[in-house]
Amino acid sequence: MPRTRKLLLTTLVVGATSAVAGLGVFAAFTATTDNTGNSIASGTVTISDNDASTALYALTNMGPGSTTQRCMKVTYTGSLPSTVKLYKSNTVTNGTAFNLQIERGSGLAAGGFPACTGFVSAGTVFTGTLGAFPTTYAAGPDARGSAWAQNDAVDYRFTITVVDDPTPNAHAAVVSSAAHSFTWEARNN
Amino acid sequence: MGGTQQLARLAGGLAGLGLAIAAAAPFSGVPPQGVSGALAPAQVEVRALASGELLVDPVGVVLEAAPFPAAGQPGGPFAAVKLTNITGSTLRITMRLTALSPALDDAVMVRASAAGGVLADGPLRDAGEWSQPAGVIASGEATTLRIRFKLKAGLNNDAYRGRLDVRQLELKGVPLVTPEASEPSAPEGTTPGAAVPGTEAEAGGADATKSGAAPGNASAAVYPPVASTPNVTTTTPGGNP
Repeated sequence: MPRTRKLLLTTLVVGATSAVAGLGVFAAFTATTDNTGNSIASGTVTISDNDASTALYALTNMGPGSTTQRCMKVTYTGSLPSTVKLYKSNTVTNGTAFNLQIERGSGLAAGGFPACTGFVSAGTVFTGTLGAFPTTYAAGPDARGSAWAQNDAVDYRFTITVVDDPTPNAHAAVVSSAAHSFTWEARNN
Repeated sequence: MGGTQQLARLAGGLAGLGLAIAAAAPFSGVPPQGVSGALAPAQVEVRALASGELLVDPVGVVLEAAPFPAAGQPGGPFAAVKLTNITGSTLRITMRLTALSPALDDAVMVRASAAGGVLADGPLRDAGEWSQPAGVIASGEATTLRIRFKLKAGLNNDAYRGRLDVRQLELKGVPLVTPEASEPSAPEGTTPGAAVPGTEAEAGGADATKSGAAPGNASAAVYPPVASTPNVTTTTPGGNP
């Protein structure tokens, strides 16, 4: 047999084999199932208020028994249910010279910060001296008594009173609380 | 030689057939084309969140699975939200559209305006970042935020059929600082002897988070939302003497 003919015969066998093998692949029954579109994202914990970076109160020359009321609204927009507690900074001086009452409620008129127009009380969060108000989340009173959900809002009324002190010559100089802040802190449940 | 040539043709044909079948194998699972025409057009949904400084009405779904017209066609999904300034200050407005289900980031243009300012005008992807504060809204006043979505011109509509993009609308008010506003003013609506609320804070109260650089409530957790530890956030009014 000539060499060329042998070569062609070999090629023929290889071609036929690969064709049969290829058809064999398609001859199998197959099936698959997918689980697609997987992703994961954290929830949010976000809280804000309507003070527009303005203090609730900045009072001077207050006499004994003088009372001031100021209000603000706090809004929770996080996606995770949270517990919100209220506490103050630890910068207060002469804390026993001032009384503080904080109420929670609703109904504040829009645009009146820090006025209390429309406020309707739903309960008291704290009553005592300014100095006794907690300075940590752990010790702070619950700002509402239940978990906050997304878009919940609560109004707060702060009532500040100068404690009457009949001690002779006790007020010959200014008695100041020093600058302090209040913080609403949300922690997801 | 005639027999040899016939054998050569037969061998070549079989070899070619085998190679062709082998080459086609990887593509055997591709579904047939042309089924996308049965899917709904691309859609967008917007859910509005409440805001500390702005009363947002309504909250929740303000645009529900609205379909897009074909790219280049007039109209498009549209949302309107009423915003009322509930602070005691004049505000500018900032917004963002965070992605709850981003399916059209690169396909949609968004334009938003309120109170005479443009809050967004560009690709939807970019609207996920806080906008530059715009518009002016006085204390107690209301305005309407209008948001319009459009498919990008020249887009292949079929490529985006069946997609639903869900966005969360977040809003904040940023105090408008004017030369007049920064000057101390006479007490208004306060009892004699009481200082104007906030004057001491303006002068640099103890609250170190009251940086004017960030829009919205200057407390650390508000803009951008940052918490000192995960899943904790706070809000603090101005420093109180």
